[in-house]
Amino acid sequence: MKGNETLANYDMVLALSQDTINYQFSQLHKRNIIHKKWGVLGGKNADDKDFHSTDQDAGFKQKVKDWIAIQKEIEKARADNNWSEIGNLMNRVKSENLNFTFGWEAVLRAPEVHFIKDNTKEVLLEIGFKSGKLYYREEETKAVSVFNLKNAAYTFKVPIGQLKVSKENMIMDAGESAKTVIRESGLSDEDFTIQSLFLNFENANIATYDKTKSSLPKGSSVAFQNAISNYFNMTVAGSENPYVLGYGVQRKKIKATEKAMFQPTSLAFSTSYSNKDKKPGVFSAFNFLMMLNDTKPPTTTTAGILPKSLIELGKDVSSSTDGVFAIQKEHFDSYFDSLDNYVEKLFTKLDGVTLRHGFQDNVMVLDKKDTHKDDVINTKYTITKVHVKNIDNTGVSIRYKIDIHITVHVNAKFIATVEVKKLTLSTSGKYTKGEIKSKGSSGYLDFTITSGKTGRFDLKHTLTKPQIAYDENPNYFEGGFWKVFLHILTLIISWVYTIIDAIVTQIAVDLGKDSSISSGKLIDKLNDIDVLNQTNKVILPLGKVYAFKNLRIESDHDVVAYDIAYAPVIEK
Amino acid sequence: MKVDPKFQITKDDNVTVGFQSELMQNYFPESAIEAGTTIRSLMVSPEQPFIFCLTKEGKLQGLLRSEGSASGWTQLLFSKGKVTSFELEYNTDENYFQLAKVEDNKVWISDEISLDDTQFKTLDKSISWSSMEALIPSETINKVSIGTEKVVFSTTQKDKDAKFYVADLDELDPKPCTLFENGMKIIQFELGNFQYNDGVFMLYDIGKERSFVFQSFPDERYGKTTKARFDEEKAINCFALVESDDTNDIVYGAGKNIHQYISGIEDDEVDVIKMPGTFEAIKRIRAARNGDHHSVWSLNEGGLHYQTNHFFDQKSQQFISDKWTNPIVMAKDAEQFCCVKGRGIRNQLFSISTKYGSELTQLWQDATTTLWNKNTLTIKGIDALKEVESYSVHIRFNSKATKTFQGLSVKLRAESNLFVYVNSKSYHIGPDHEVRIPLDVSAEFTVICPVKDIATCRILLDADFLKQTVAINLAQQVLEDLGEKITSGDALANARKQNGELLVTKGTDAETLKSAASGIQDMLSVAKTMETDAPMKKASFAVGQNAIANTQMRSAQITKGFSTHQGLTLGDFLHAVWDGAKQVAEFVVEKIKDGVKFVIKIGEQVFNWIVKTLREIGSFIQKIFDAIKVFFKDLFEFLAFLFDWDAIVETKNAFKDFTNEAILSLKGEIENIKNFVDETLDKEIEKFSPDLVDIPDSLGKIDPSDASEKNTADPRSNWLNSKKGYLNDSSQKSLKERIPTEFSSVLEKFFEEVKSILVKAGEGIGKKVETIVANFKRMIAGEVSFLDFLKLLLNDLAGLSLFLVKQLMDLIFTSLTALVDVALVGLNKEWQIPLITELYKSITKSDEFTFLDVMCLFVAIPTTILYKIGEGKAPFGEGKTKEEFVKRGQTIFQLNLN
Repeated sequence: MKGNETLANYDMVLALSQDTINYQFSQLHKRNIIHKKWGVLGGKNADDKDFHSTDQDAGFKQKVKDWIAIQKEIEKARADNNWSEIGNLMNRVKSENLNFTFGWEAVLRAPEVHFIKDNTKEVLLEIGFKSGKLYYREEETKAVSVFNLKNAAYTFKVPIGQLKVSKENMIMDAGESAKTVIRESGLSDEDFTIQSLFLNFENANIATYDKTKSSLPKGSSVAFQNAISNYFNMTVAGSENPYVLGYGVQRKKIKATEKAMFQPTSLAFSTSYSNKDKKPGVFSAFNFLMMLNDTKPPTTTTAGILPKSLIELGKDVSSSTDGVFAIQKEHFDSYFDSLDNYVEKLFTKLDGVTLRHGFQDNVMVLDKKDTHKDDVINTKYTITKVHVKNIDNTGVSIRYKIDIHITVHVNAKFIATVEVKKLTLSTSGKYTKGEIKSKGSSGYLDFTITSGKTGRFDLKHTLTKPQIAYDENPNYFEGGFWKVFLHILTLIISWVYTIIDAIVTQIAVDLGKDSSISSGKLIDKLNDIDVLNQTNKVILPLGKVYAFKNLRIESDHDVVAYDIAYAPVIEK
Repeated sequence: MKVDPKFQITKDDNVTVGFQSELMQNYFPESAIEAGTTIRSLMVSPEQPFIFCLTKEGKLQGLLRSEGSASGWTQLLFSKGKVTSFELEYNTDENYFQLAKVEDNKVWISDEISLDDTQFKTLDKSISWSSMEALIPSETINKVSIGTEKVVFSTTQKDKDAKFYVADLDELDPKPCTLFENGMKIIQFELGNFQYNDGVFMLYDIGKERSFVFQSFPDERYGKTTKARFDEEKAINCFALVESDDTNDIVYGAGKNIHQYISGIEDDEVDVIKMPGTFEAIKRIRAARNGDHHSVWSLNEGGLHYQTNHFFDQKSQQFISDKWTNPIVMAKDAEQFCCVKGRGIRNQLFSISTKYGSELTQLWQDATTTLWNKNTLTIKGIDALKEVESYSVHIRFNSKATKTFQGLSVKLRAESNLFVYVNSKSYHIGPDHEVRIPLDVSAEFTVICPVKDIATCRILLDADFLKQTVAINLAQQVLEDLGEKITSGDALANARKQNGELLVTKGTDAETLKSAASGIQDMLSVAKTMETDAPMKKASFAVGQNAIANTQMRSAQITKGFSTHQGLTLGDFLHAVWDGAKQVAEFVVEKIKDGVKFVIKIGEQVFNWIVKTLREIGSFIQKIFDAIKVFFKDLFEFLAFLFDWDAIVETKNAFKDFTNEAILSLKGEIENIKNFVDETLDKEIEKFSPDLVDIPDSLGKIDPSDASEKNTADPRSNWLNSKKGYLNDSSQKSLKERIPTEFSSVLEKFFEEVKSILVKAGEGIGKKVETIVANFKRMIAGEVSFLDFLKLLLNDLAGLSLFLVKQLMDLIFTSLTALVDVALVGLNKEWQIPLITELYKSITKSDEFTFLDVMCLFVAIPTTILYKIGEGKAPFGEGKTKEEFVKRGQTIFQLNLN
């Protein structure tokens, strides 16, 4: 499967599990960050217009009491056929603004979302009642009926497919100080917090009350249920009130981060229902769909509809993690490319080394020409990217093979220079003599990438030194030549190793022997080396909200994936 | 022993209290506690810390503060082998604690140890452990942390991510958990609560960075966890947790700065405070809380820093609780430490420095004076010897009434908190800490207060038989001496220590000395005011080295430091700031209603404190001396009573040689004596006048067994007497067993035969024989001269039938013959006495301490000290006296009857 298919035409997707979202909601609820109590009264005002008040309004409780009391009196007066009293009472209802038709006072459970099978564009937001009372006045002259709200639930359908966040509207919404940050870095991490998500779900402009999915108190009439529907559809639509569904929540403040190498510039949402292992809570995902580099989001009808939940790709799906992040490998390859560039620079920086060609089909060739008196020594370095593969423990290994081929032209100068003998040494040479004591072998430059802290990478490297040996049996060389050659050989050996040592030193300087992070000065100095910018800076976005682990290439899906954890940063 | 109250002394018996306090050396059979890594502590009762740390061999040890025990600390072992990690958790609700340790690649959890009804002194025996293991044997368990409900431990495995296990304490069935990042090794982790979730705070290395995170335990409904990352500009190297009142832990993360994190209540945000101070990388941090008072200790290359939110506002002379002080260095060298907060001992810090022998050191702050004190934690060790500088006070109660002090007791307190020894046992005394000291017939005791400077406070005595509280100013003598000796700058310049060296380095600026001397005199008059409530003039003076400093430079330094030292208490200031201030300090001292007000001006910084006890004054005097480079060591040599061990050993040697000579001569004389006694029994007893044997006057007057009957108390001459507790130490063999066998077998035989004589003599003789036996023992012990013994003997037996007396005398002489045969061998055999043996060895640098040495030393110490106090010189100062004395030994038993 191609990466764009896996990610439904988006560059990156962060899939957050349904359980995580609900767990986080329950935390907000448990800690009273979102309100637990909710009261509403709905009716007509003096001008016969719909109006409502909530428990955020002063005197709410008293209003409920007064309303219930006066309706009781009205009912009694009607039973007694005392019409003048009814008239008086009705006037009082109007003057005291007690003309309510329904209302409730309740303690809420934590809100819960449910993703829907074969529906990637809508989620159900369920508001459950732990306890409480629901009041309904069937007729103007009847007493208020009271229903027990225990275990009742109201459900709203939130069409998340309509929600879109782009850099432009982010900038428009943001305060002055945040504008630059967003302009430079793309979306802010705050958009990826649970609080933002909740605000999106609760978004009054789009949520609609779903009567069929709600469970109302037993015995409440159809007419009443309709009234509730009407109320919600009436009040929810067009309201900016954060308490509209009873909960009030603030956006979490997250400090702006450095711009990541893969910084999203637009954001859309979808869901992926999954029943893997019969655990829809674990594997169903809410998808943050992202585009890179100001690329326009896809507009096809299937855009954002992932073929399956990314969480099914999770390596660690235990309680420690909350989902999966994936980026199309095509994009991630730019990271590997920069590593190629780095290796290229390592070699071209060496004295006298010229690049024949950079990496083409994973092979780079370099030359070095040296002379010693009349003799000429040509060295050819062949650097082959052998593999980019997952390693068992949570990372990706990239291996470069270093082959060296040295041709020595031993010349004699008479009238013109005449080649007396040509011989070669290489990393595949089999013959030893004198100072060359072992068979030739290729060198290897190995890099291991593992995920670091807050979206950074940790890059480890090892170098296996190449060994050169004679390609033909040097014992067949005649004695006189050998004597001459010995001088050259000493030089060759020292050159080969000087070069290797230079590479070792350079990498150590560039990446830091022990701590690439702390060597800030060196990094500044070597700013031109792209890869360093990236190894020491943020590669992945959202590092202030999510932690990344288990970096791997998912070849079958053509993406690079991580397990993620929702772990907002706490800082001064 | 119960004494009928009617025989006990009461208030009406005109009890007088004799006491004398001396600044002097003292010795204890104690050794410093050595410790390896990790220290944890817990207050098992309001002022009783229980410290847990590893021994140098890696075993888990517990050190319990034990009031009234020999060193004040009891050591307990809690593991057989090496412990790689341990932790303790105190359950505040149910008042118990539990220990967890990693030993033998297993996690061991102790039973619940109740603070209410546990005998902590025997906890090592009563504790029981349960264990659990990791799932895979190749996992190495490297850390454990315990909470009130759960225990977690972390493991490492080659080339794998680190893992941790969570187990309920009730089940101990560990469930593995993963980290949410690719961390290979957990550096530090602790169970705690963050944002109302129980979980684990973890610090681990990820790649080349360090990550500090919190991960809660999975919830039941969704199986998910709360995670958070604490991240600051500079990496967090370590963290500390302190439980708050609302279950959330207060988190301190430290790297280059220290941040405090407090979860908001009903608020999503976490309140992050960046505490004052920038450090080199902090390696370790601990925090403690007592109510709203928090203190933070942080350790880095620069030392151990202390800061507190108990901010002392100079203006109001009150503490403000929501402001942090700047960090001050409290200890330059420490590698491991822990801290606890208390009431009387406000802050306590226990630390180890491997640079200095890994000794466990206690640094504590007295709540009354806010002064800091430092001492080494010790445990009793008979083979050990610890020398301490101390104020030692000998206190004796006298009454002419023919009643006893037996069964009565004295309550001992102090104006500020002190750790003292009373009768060789360690106690904490303070304004709210009193100790009850039981009295016996002799009605005396010695209080030894180890000090590190000349400052100390008054101790207070109360008793039912006292009409009013007796206050003893431990430093009185020293302050008086100072007043007499440091009368002027010149006097200070010419003052000499007891070894003849100048007290102040030659060439010290005369003006500086002059100001120091007047400062000291002013301070002394403040001290007098405090003690006697005498009126006092407002005084001002300056102290310091460069009286004329470069003004420009001074102000430059000050602006830098101006804000930094605000909020400190006087104790903090003296401990950490004063020594660093290389400038002149100006003092204004003024008496106010409830104490003495000190205004101290160092450059532009002005501090003011109200001082309430003599201890602070003493500290100031010490600091004045410090400013002219006269340190406590010098002052000690200047003012203290110094045991002249050379003279004491000289005296002892004389006694020893004397005795050896005497024994040799005795052998030849026994027959003569026997005959003499036989004859004498028929003659008058008076012939045996003690004058017959002429011992130097001053020596002859001293009866070492009688020291306590002297009228004036004196901690110096009573020194040995104050150590007798060690002889009867229950952990030792009985005294009899420790006497060389040669003697004990002779004694046994003697007693046996005496018994048979007693049977013949009937009941009447019983009492008299008891005295004889007792005196015989005394003679053997060298406490009574032979002649005195003979005298006593004959006196006592005068009324008995001659036949029996003769028989008895025969027995005595037979015993004596036997004794003399073994004496030369036995007396010169090595003998081990707690404290004294070690002390003797350290003084004389010799290996052997014989029975005879012991006996002679017992006589020599008070003899020499009193002789010196009286005569101004040691008894055997001149060689000739000694020779003559020794020679007399040859004739002591010769009955010069002519």
